[in-house]
Amino acid sequence: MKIHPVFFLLLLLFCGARRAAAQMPVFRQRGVKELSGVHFTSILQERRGWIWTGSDKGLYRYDGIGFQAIALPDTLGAVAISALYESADRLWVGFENGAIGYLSPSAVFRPVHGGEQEGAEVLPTQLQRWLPEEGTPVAPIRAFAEDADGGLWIATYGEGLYCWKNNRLYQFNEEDEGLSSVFVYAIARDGLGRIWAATDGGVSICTMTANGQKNVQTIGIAEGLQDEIIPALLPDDLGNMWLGAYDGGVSRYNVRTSQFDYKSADWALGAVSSMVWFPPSELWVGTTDHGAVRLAPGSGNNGMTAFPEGNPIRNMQVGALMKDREGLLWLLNKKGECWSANSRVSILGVPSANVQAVCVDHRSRLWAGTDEGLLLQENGEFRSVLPGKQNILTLQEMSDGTIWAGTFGNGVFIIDPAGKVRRQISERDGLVNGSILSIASAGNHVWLATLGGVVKVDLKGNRFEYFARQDELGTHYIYRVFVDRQQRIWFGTDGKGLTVLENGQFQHFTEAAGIGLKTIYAITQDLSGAIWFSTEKEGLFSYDGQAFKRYTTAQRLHSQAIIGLETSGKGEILVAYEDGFDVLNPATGHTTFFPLGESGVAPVNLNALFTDAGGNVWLGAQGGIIRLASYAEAFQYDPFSVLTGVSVFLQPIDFITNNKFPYDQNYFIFNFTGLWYNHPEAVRYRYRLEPFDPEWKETKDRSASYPNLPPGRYVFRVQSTEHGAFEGTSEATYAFEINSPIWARWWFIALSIIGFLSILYAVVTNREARLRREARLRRESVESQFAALKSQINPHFLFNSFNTLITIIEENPKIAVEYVEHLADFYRKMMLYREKDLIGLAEELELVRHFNFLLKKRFEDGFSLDIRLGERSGLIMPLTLQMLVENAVKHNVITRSHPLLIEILDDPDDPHYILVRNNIQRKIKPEPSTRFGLQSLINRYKLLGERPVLVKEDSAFFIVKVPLVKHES
Amino acid sequence: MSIWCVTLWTDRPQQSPELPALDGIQEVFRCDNGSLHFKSDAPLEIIEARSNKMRGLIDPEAQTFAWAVDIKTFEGFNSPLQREHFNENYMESSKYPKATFQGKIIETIDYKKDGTYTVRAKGKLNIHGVEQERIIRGQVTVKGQRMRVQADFTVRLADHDISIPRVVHQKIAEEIAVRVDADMSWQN
Repeated sequence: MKIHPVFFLLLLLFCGARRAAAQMPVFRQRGVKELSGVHFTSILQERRGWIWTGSDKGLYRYDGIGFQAIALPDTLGAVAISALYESADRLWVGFENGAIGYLSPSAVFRPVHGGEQEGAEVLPTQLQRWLPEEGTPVAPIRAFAEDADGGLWIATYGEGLYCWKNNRLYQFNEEDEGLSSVFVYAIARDGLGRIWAATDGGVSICTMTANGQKNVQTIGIAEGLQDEIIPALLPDDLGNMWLGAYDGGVSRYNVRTSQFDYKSADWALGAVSSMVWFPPSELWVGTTDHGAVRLAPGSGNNGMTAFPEGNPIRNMQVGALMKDREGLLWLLNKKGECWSANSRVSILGVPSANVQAVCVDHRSRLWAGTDEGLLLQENGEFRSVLPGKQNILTLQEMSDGTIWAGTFGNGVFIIDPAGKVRRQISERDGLVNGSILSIASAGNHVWLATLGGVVKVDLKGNRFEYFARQDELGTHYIYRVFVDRQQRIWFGTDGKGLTVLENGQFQHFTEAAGIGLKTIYAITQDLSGAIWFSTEKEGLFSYDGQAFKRYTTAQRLHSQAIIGLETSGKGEILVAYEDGFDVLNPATGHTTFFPLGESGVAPVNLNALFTDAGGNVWLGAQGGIIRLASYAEAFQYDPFSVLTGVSVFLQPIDFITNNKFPYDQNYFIFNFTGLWYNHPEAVRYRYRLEPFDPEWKETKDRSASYPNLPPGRYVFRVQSTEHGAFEGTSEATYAFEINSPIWARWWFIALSIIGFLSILYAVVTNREARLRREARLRRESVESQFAALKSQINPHFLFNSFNTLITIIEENPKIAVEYVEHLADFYRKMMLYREKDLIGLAEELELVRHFNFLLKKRFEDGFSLDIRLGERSGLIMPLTLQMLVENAVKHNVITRSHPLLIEILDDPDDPHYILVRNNIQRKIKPEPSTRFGLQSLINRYKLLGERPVLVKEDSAFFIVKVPLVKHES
Repeated sequence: MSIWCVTLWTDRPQQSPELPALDGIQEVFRCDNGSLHFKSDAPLEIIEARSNKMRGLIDPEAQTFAWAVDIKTFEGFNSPLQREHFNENYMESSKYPKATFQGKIIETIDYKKDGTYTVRAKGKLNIHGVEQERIIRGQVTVKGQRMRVQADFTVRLADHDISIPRVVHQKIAEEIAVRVDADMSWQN
């Protein structure tokens, strides 16, 4: 016979004495190493996920790995913290000396570097002292609360209550308002928005309207309160109020009916110090002398479960209890220690027993099948049900209330609800094999998986029906028989995969999601009806009737060595391994791993799981039984990613308000953490700076640095997980922008380009204008030269000159020679100068004198040229004066009786000019004029960019003012 | 609230500051010429005035106190017209001649021991006929047979139904800063 190795584990065990113990969470102490001598007094989890603790030495922020002290300002005059509270915008801190401080959400802390132990690193203070005009109490602050319209209430131990509303502080005391006592232990808001104050004189329900109208209603013993002294208050999820008394246990007050609707009976645990409520039905109570206990109010003995003897919590003096978002229960004791445990996971230690099967019957009694016998828990004690030594492998409660216990070798025991053995079905009764691995109840029938094949029997244990034929199951080796809600019978076989019997037909699944199915260990059905089954090595599969889906360690499973599956009342799938279990959300595939390494129990047995009527899952293990509570709350599945700091050039910044940086502030360090108090060491991260990083980077470090980021818009994203898969986990993001330097901003670049283009345009247009001007100048000059030439070789001039010459030749050949010389000189000079832009004034005058000589000879006394210039030097355009003289001759009558007098003079008004002036005696018939000469002169001077040529004409004189151009040198 | 201070100040508001015989009270601190100074720091105008005729009693045994001031005794306004407005328009001093504060001291201090103590007085502040519950923090300096009481606090006009015409809104602050300074001595 083939026996799977798991069975050897089952067979290894031996018997031992066992004492009934309570199934309770496993607490471990936090912050022992780094914080010696610190006494914690108060604890709180803020919305951002951090756990804050107040102590006699100050304030600490805890991330699961290290406690960081927050330095306190000296102005407080105190370090001993007595209360913590988070309001909408502040974390409030109350001190023993009555001082009150607060932290704003934008508080900046020095980033935490690396992932190593930080110890009690002191973070710079951001705590502000709260100081209203009215002053703050001098009595210890015990608690804070907020009422329905945002009033902050402060409980003091000695001064009653204060209420901060409309920027005024009001007090409630015994005399004026009828507060039950000024010694207030706790305050809380009920479902109607009223503030309850628990005092040592009863309970006062207080309200105050916006205009200061106070109302106090007191509940004392006369109203049914169990004790005058009420140290603990706790509103439940419906807004009703739990009251924990100094003596007399706990009670619950229904705020709608104004009645107590629950009171604990026969309380023997002394003073209640604190409470935590787990909906729908569990209350944890911390007591000052007898540890913490769990109550299921409404059941007998208050439904109380206490820690077993020897457990450190059993006799602890509990100060405070707190529930966090992961379902951890935190406990502070009077010694100032901080402990925590996952409240969902309880361990019932059954030392030296190997629990191979568990069952909770309809009377909520726990049955445990071990390798030595069957145990039934009654009144907190286990008793053995079966005679002799029996190796119980499986347990099942039937519809008739009987418990069927399958053994290794001795068949099935049918036990009635009273715990009496009704019958044993063994091989002697015709059972094919006496070793029963799995029992399933299907209405009036029972399915037994034996080592000799599957057997169907009726509830009496008769009428065996076998299904071992090849066309039926095809194998004798069945690990698990499972009856689903549709009454289909599922078989997990060894070697033949998954088989289902539906409507009398067997259907075999030998392949799922491309994976060949061989050995199936465990089967369960989720609340949506999908079948989940685990294989020997290939991981977990779900089957919704259409398709298979596979889950492996790549899809968040802790391991692929799965030894059991069970669906909790909340619909989660519990996946059991030998070192712990995953709780899987079938809708999202998210898992949370619950390690059992340090718990003293090891769930080594196959299919030792059971879901009770309350939805809690029980898991039999070596050394005890594990219970996963099915609380109504949805706890966090994954670490909660938070950004803890942003540094720019190693300088922490307030990243809540800062997100714009200049271009040279570009060395960033991001610090982050995944708050996961369940298992803080296991958290891994991936981060990505978009768009800088093309891909996610995975790390165990809690910081990422980016030196020298270029300007741009960025989003830093970080996710955290406990098991490789990051999809769908919480993400912390920080969006920021590094501005471009001024020279790289678009508007600056645009302006620069515009400026450059403007300058270029100016230069180009200027140059073009200059070239144009020069070209024009050249053209004008050429034209003027041409005109001058034309005029000079103008036949009139030559004709006149030659006429003059003819007359002179006969009269005075000597002068004629002189005349010809002058004429020749004149032409020569004209030819010489005409190419030049400017010539000296003296040269021009020389030319004019030659011209004068020629004219004088022609007109004799009718013409005279008078040159009266001072010491003038300068340049002049060639032929300027000659042309002006010629013009004068051309346009005026020249006779002896009316002589033409041309004068070349200094300008008396302007030293830059010389004047050419002639008396006006117009010809009656004006000479035809090209109008070219004077205008050309004016234009040429204009193009030269010099002073303009000015023309003035009055009745007597025609005056042209010609500017002298300075020598270049 | 102890009875005597109620009878002392509120039942006989019109009387001059004659103190009646105090039956049953062994020893009290008394003051007849305490100073009460207020300041309205509005955007357009600062108004200040002072009365040096504030009267007070403190019973150290019962930790009770009573203070009163005649509104008409305030002086030092910017102008006589302003004082007239103060008395007639805002405070209506002929209708509500006194401002009072009476109640109980929260802290317990030793009035026979020299020293400076910060105390908080919780009581009913009555101004303009409107009573408001207030906690006022003050400094008490005990020296021999005398005791000096100093306190700074604010009064919101709206709390006491003192309405300001919209025209002068910019001239009168919504919160008036008040400073009290009183020298008290034992009286048997």
